[in-house]
Amino acid sequence: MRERTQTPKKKTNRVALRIIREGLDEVLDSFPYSTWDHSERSGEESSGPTPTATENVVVASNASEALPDSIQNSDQKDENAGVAEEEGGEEDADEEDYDDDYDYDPFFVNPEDIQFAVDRLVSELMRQDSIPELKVFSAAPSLAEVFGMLFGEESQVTEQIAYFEELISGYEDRASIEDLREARRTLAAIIETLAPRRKGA
Amino acid sequence: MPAPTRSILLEELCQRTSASLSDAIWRSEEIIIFGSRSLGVNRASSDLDVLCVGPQLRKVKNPSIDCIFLAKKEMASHHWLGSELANHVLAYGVWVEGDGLWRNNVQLSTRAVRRKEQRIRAILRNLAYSWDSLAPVFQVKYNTTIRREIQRLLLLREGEAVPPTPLLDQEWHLMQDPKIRRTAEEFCSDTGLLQRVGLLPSSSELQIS
Repeated sequence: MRERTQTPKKKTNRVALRIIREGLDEVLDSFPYSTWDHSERSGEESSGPTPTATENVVVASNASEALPDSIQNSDQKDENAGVAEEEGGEEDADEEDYDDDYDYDPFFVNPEDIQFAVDRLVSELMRQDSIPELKVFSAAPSLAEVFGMLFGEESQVTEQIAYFEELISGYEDRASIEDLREARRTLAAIIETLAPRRKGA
Repeated sequence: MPAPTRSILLEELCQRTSASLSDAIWRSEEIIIFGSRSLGVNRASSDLDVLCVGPQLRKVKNPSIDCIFLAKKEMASHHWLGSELANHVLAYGVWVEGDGLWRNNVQLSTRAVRRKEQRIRAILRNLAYSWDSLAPVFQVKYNTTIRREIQRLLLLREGEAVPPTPLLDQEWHLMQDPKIRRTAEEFCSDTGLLQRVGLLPSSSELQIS
């Protein structure tokens, strides 16, 4: 097996890199609050962003019965219960509003906001003509394809972004919070990799 | 194109899986191939959709294969049994391995309908915000996406299983059902957006007609 290169190896395309850095920050911002890591949340208890309309963060009274084993762990339950409390959802109100759990599944969210943020980023790269190879695309390219052009298909950062896109793709119109948390961590690592290095650092 | 036999689908599955994925798939109690390739209505570039029931829990998606692993326990849940995917698999899936006893209990739920409605709202909300920022290829992509999702919603509301995407497209090209436009208006009052997205005829098209 060929060894993956640790850092982008192609000649730097400064314009594209700047657009990607800015765009990835926007993608990171598009993640719903419920996908933040525990450590990030604990530091943002009072000032964190309000969950978006697409989040299903309220724990339904009997939702856990139907949850897959893979996502039934106590940490997640505690965290989501916490979010419900922060929203001012008292137990009685929950039961009244969400008696049938059809619309509420506490461990899944709709990933459209994130997917659109990615598409806006790729669109910006195309509109700025920053990557000549993109001109030949007649269908919407993935971010992994764009990274392949910029950094090389075999580079680690390209592999990471492909993994990221797989995580946010979801299935049945939704993505698990666990997958999105992993996606967010992966994205943060990519942003760190692509951050400008200070001279002498 | 005739529907492929089970052995052809098996061969296809073997060709498209790496050793590690193949190992995970064959440890599953049930293996079902669904989507366009199970019916033989696929495009050349279509991936192979696979559902595996068993101990592995993950999802593998690449241009060649889209493989979902679900726990056996989940197959008995009302979330799964009422889902769009379970209904699709029941109607169009080909069992390569396993008995699929859960099939007897599949019944489309209102939850599946509401989830589709939620997705359509989310896409339209994002389109309203992003349309001008999207490159033409992405505008075309979402034009198709939103039309297909509304087609799926209409079928789900009728209690029908959603067919593979190429059949949806074929139906659209044969008969541009006006219900799709009316449903789009149900979700979005912004006529300008619906015209830009291609769900409503533009002013110039209306003048010509």
